[in-house]
Amino acid sequence: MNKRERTVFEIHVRENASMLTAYLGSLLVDKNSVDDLFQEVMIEAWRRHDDCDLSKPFGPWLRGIASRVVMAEHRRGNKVPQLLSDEVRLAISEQFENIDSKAGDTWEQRAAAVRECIDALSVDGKKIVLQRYLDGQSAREIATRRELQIGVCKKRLQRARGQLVQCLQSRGLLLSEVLSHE
Amino acid sequence: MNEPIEEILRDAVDGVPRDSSERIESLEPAALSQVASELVVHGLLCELGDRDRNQSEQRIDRVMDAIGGGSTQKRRRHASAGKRSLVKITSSLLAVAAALAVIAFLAMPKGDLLAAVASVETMISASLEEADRTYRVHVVDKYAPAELTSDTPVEVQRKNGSVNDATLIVRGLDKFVLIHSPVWGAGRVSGCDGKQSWSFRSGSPVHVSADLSQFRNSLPGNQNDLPMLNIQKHLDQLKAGYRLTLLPGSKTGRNGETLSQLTGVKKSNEIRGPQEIEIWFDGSLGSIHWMLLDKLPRESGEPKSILLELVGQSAVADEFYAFQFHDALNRDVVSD
Repeated sequence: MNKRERTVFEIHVRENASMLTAYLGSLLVDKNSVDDLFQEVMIEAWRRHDDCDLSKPFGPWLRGIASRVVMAEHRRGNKVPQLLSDEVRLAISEQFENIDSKAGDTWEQRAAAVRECIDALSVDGKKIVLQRYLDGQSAREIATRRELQIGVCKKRLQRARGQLVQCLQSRGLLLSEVLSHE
Repeated sequence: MNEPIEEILRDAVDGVPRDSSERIESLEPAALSQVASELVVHGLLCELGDRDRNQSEQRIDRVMDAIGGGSTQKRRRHASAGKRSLVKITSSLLAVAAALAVIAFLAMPKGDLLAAVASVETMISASLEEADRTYRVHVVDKYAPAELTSDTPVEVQRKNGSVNDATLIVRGLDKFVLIHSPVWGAGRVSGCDGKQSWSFRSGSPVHVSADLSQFRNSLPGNQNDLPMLNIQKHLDQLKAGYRLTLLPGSKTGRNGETLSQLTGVKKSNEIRGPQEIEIWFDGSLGSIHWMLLDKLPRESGEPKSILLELVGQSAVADEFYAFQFHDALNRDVVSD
């Protein structure tokens, strides 16, 4: 493959890196799995880039590869994908297609509502979300530092994510209902 | 959503991972939406955290290394000094822009002056409002070590922490919160609630001061007499210093706004501040979409070029500007 094709591919990689990270984060649990499969998905896309119809968006094509790579990993039993019924995977894909449709040149622009919704959380909700995701602490670490029972901590995290779901739905970034079940 | 499914989700996302696919095969539609939405939110938050830790760039480097040739960004970084990379200017700090708009008001030719008066006044009014604005700070270019003076060794800059990828939230003239990236800025957070200024970083107590300007030197451009706050104080220094050009309605914003471009080139090296400034603004609303501070003084220890991007205008609570809001670990407080 020549230098120009490699450059074009790198542009696609850069434009879709954040989206792919978020998509894999939705399908996987631990960070190392996201790191490993990010590389595997991108390399698979590189191998198959001749199959890609460049007249269509690159993101959905990449998510298709990612979905297959995650399932293959699941079958090999090396990783532990979560909640991976076909229905759920399709519903997640629908949500990402909806995000794709939002205004903005980049993923960061299209997903800007995430930061806005974090800011709109209650003081405690924002604190626990920042500790979990921006500081990278586990639920157990947060529980220890805040002297909470682990169950209480996980419930607070889930409540905060639930509030973010509602906020993002109200801003149109997430669909209130997915169609996959129909 | 029923309790068993909530429990599965909690375990999957925050607990011990396990394969629960069989247990949720027959989700009701509403529960299916909720499960998918919560997983997507988890993914979005994970990506946001990774972005703040600059892990995306490392992943891209690894991919491009794996397919051969390395990434162009990596090659650029290794080439020292570096040309300005893809400059995607999207916005600016409102107060600085308002100050520059006043400069334009004072220094422009008469024709341009008449055309700009309305938008300049709108921008100034906007800068004085108690509205909250959120910006991302991008270090577009750095000085190579060889370009730095002996007063600013690289080590000092490293300890000070870069503002690259920092988030800045400002309100009016004296309230701000600057959240540095955990990677680039050593987890530093600083701010001012209008009554006291404060600052802390990972592993340190909270330093507070009754001097509202005590911790402003971490604000981008502040060390170069381009304050983001209290613009009036510095207006006299700014108004005579730049050769300004205004191009009304020369670009369309991402949401269809008509943007005007204001560029400023420093008249003399005797004047502090960046060599060049570019601002793109919507004159009808007073909103500034892009601002680039280019060729900042190298002796300041700051980056060569900084880009400021408006990413949100949502209101935040009053207590957001107090350190207690951000100090999740209840650190000790030290009065400076």
